Amino acid sequence: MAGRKISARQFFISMFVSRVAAAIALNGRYAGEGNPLETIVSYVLSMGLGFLIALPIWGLHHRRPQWDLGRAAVEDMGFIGKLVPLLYFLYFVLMNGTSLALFQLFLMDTVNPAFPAALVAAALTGAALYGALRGIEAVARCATCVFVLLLLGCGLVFGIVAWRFSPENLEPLFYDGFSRTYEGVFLFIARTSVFADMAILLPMVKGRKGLGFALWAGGTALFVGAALLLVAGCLGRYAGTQGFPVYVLSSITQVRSMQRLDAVFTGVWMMGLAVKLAFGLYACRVCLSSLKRDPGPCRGGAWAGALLTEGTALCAAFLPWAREYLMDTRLLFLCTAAAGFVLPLLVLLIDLLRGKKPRGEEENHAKT
Amino acid sequence: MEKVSASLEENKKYLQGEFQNSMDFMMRELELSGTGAALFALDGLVSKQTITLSILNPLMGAPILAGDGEAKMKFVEKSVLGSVEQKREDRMEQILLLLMSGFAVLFIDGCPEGMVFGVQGFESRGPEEPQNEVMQRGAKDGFTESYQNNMAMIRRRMKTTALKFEKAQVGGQSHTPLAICYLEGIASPQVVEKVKERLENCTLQTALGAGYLVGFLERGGLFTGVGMSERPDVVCGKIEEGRVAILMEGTPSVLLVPFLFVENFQTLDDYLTRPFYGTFIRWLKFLAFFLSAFLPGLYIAITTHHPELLPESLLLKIAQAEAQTPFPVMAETLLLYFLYEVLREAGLRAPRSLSATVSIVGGLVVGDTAVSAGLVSAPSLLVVALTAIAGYAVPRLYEPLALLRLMFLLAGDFMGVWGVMLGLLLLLLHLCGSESFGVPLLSPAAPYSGDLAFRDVFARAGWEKLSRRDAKVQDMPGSREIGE
Repeated sequence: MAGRKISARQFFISMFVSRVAAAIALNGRYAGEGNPLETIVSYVLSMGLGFLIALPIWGLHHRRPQWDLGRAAVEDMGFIGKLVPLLYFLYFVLMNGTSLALFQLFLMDTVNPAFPAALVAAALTGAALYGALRGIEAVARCATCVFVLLLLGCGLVFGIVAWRFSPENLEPLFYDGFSRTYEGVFLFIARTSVFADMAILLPMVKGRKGLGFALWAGGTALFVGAALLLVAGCLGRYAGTQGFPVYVLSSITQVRSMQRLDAVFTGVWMMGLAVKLAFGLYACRVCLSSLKRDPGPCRGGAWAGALLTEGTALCAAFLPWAREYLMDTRLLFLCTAAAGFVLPLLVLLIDLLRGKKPRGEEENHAKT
Repeated sequence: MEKVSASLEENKKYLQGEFQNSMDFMMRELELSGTGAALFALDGLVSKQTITLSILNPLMGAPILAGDGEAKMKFVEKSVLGSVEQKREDRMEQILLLLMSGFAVLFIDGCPEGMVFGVQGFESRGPEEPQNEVMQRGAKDGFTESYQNNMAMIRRRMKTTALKFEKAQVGGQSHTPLAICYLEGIASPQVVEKVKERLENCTLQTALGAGYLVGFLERGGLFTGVGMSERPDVVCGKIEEGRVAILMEGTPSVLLVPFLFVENFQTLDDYLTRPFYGTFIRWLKFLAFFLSAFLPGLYIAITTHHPELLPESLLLKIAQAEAQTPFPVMAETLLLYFLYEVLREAGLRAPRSLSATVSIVGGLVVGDTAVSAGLVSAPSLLVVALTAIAGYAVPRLYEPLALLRLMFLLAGDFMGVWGVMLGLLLLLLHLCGSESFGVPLLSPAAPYSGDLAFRDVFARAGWEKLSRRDAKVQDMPGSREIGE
């Protein structure tokens, strides 16, 4: 699977699109309510913490640049190690499923309750599956195009609503203490799958990855910061009563040549979400290919991932009890912490303990 | 019979047997100082005048040395005949092929070889301006059906020894000759080898047009990775950038590989006008492509699912028009779209004397009457007409556009603007995942290279910049060695 490589720029642009697609879906009910300005602080803190969380992944990648985390676990731990790629597979299914479920909830709650949200979700999964089957290069190149559309679409919306910005709507920072800020940090980390993506997909990335990660963190912080600042300045307390405040922000845009831009905005958001899903499904492919003796492409992994993602999304969207569990921030945080920090650290430690000389050996492995 | 026999009789019998019941088979027997000889050719493929002047007259008039058949053949070859294109050949299969390509063959009794002469004299069309690639300022000559003439047209424009024409052949039955043309040192050797390999693996029995080969040169998909041109100036420009051209006998279309998506928007006129205008025209074509692909889908999506996107006055006009028609907007757009495709096909296939009638009936009678009778609304008709006209701004993309329009129409009807967006995403994924001989189809836009993208994709740079360095197609970002 490491044969095809994408550049660090392509990878982190894709991660930016995924992150923004997830960030746009943040809402009061599932993401915790509070002062949007404090949420900006939360996001910046979560990005800072992200650098620390990612350390084991970077460490392992430095030792085993040709191996993804699943492959490294299987090589180092044998049969037991096969649990690691399986856990990552399930993690990607969960993250994709919850993102898709949030979109379905948005369609049903905010747009039109009679809208066939399940059909849209199925179409989205289908598009993402097609991308995952076409390969990481196709998804990454497509993500670059979506990135441009996203910047143009969001730039247009933000530019237009900026005229409605009123500083009077802003509330003082930390008025109710710091607890909501901490909660926000946990929330943002919980909803970030970039660490798992890096753990699985970094071997397929060439170029300056460290710089890419730093730019990704800064870029997403800027974008999310701008969106939240506009939400706070344009909507004020009204934002807290809305299910999807960023969408509400887009729906108040009015331009002379068009009435409203919210449908276009939602379309661009959908494209970003599809890129996120496609990367997740491709990661599922890689995870299941780690279980095989021959590390070739595993198309079945993407199919299985897509079916399970769709199932998870439907459960989370239509079964309230399942939604409580699947969208619980604590559960998501635990899963992200495990996938982004604990498992990479564990594999790194075992790899260090085994003390194999890594690089030359890997080259031989890569050749086979 | 694999080899030519030393016996003239055997050779005669063999050829007469092979061309039994073929009235175009010609044989002229003669005697050279007491030794029997015979000249064979196929009527209609050769020039009888050339045969008479350059073969028969010298043979009959010259004093031929005494000796065996081999010695006479040698003497004839060196001292008697002055034909430019002549060679000795001992493989009978090759001789048959040459006969059917317009050569004449001479056998002398006692000589186990025949002598073939290039005396082609079949009628061929002269170079004319290609009707499918009309240019405002470019040269007015186009390729013809003779690949040899086509080679000459390219050679006349590129007087360099690096220009190579390698011979190939396709068609188990037709044995259609091809020339693989490229610039040595510029074209990627891997691409040249891959072209040869794919042509060798071509399983066609008869190849009647360049389009037959496209399926063997690429894996298939909505957008082709094989270009086609009827213009020698365009082909020379492409060869200069490292592409490989395939010239096929019997067709004026030359195939070009690798062929990128952006080339669908490039025309020679872009380079013959000033850069700012070339850039402007390029963007017009991009816009026309998006208009042609998305307009009907977006029209359906917005009028059916998102009327809030339209300004009130426009929305009222559309609603007013729709209220007077019996069909839903999707049905009438689909109907108009199919009607347009039928009219286009009829206009294309009808005899020239009738095509004006078809246009009048289609445009005036069907269009105008349908609207005034209240069967379809004027906005729907306008959308379909705009779509059709926009499609002709990028004629190379007409085929994929016909399918895309339909796809976006259905997506817009089922899921509104989101459906169209999803369709766009699928289209992007498809384009981003496609390659032509190892070069990404969307390169240099995706993978992106700002330098190349603003050299000749999003902007047409001036000739000073364009000529400053090579932009070899195999060096585009994301390109990889074939077979990797």
